[in-house]
Amino acid sequence: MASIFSTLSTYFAYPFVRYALIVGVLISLCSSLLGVTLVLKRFSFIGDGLSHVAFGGMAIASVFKLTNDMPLTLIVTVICAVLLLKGGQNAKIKGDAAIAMISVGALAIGYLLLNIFSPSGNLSGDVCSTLFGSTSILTLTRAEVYLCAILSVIVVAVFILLYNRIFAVTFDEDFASATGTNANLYNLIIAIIIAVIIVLAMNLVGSLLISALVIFPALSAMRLFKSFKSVTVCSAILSVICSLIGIIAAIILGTPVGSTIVAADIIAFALCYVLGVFLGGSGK
Amino acid sequence: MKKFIAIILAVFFIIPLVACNGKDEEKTEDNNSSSVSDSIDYDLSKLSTTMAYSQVVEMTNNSSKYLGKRVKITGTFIVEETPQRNYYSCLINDQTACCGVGFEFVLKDTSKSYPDDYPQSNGEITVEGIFNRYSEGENTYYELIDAVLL
Repeated sequence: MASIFSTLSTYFAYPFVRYALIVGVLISLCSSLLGVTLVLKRFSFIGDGLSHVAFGGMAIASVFKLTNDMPLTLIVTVICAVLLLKGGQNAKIKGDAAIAMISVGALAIGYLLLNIFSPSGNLSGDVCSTLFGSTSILTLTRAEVYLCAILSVIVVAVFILLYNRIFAVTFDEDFASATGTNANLYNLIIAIIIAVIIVLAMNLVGSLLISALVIFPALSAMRLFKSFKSVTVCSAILSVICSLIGIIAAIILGTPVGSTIVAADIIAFALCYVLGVFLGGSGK
Repeated sequence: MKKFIAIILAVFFIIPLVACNGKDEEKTEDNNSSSVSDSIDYDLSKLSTTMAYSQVVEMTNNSSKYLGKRVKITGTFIVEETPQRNYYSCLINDQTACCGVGFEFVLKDTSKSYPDDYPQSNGEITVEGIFNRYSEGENTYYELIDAVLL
């Protein structure tokens, strides 16, 4: 145990480890807050879909040899998130079909562009790294850390300030509209926030594993609590703890960061499920 | 009340970044003040592969901080043979095994020749040398000079 603490204290001296922990906590916090809304709106897989769209955006940015791909990726992802979510319950192409259509389309076009224009000598490496994010969170520049922090603060602040309206639109959009809430506007805001979180979360767990970061904390919390507020708070705490454990375990054990975080989320879900059954909670 | 909470959270999130900025400056000054010495400045061989990979990326992204420092690294020995010269590298793969980063190295003992005096290609090696940067054409490369195979 003493050697582990000694190793950790050595590792924490490296600035990129501190950056990874800070950004990891912020990203996991943001994704867990919106995860509850997405799970309840039956949009659990939108994280996966939008991450594929973000991959397509990154591919376009790479082809154009942009120094920083995040702005273009963010714009493309926001546009697709708005198309998917702004329609809400009354969209012509609903939920899973719309996500599948945009998701696979963006992934295919993105990979096609990368193959045709080959911006770097290691195409498979770039694609694999983007998909699984093995060490992306540990190779952030200071500018990227600041950008992640600012966007995360904005997301959390918006969620706190608009909590009641997000709650209303999540549970009963028609009733919210009938009582004077501009449901379309809040669906738009939710869509933009989700897109921002997805682009940030790709640095943490990669494209293929983003859904786990969004879904597992919310589902784990729902095993233990019933109210929206309790589930949201519990989801945030679980997500942050699992991300911290995942990042630290990955750097000590030499495992991929994204997969380790998801493994921690799965273990947390299993524990919450058992605890929920034992306590006779909301796990039915 | 919610606005107050949001402001408190914003301050809470920004403080760690400010705090870390100061520590980075201290570490930078400490590193820059030490000249080339026989002691190892950065021993990547003792780090996990995830950490070693990340540190190599950090060194290539901010190479000015590390120039002239003695570095020890463990990885896979890669040889690239060209008509002009051979390039010897020590490569670290990331955990998905699809990406690799590392440095070239130039042995201090120039009498050694490949393949007789070098390890087997694609085998694991540990090499120690002085971190250096050079350019060929438009490209920049990173190497360990005055290197010794351990």
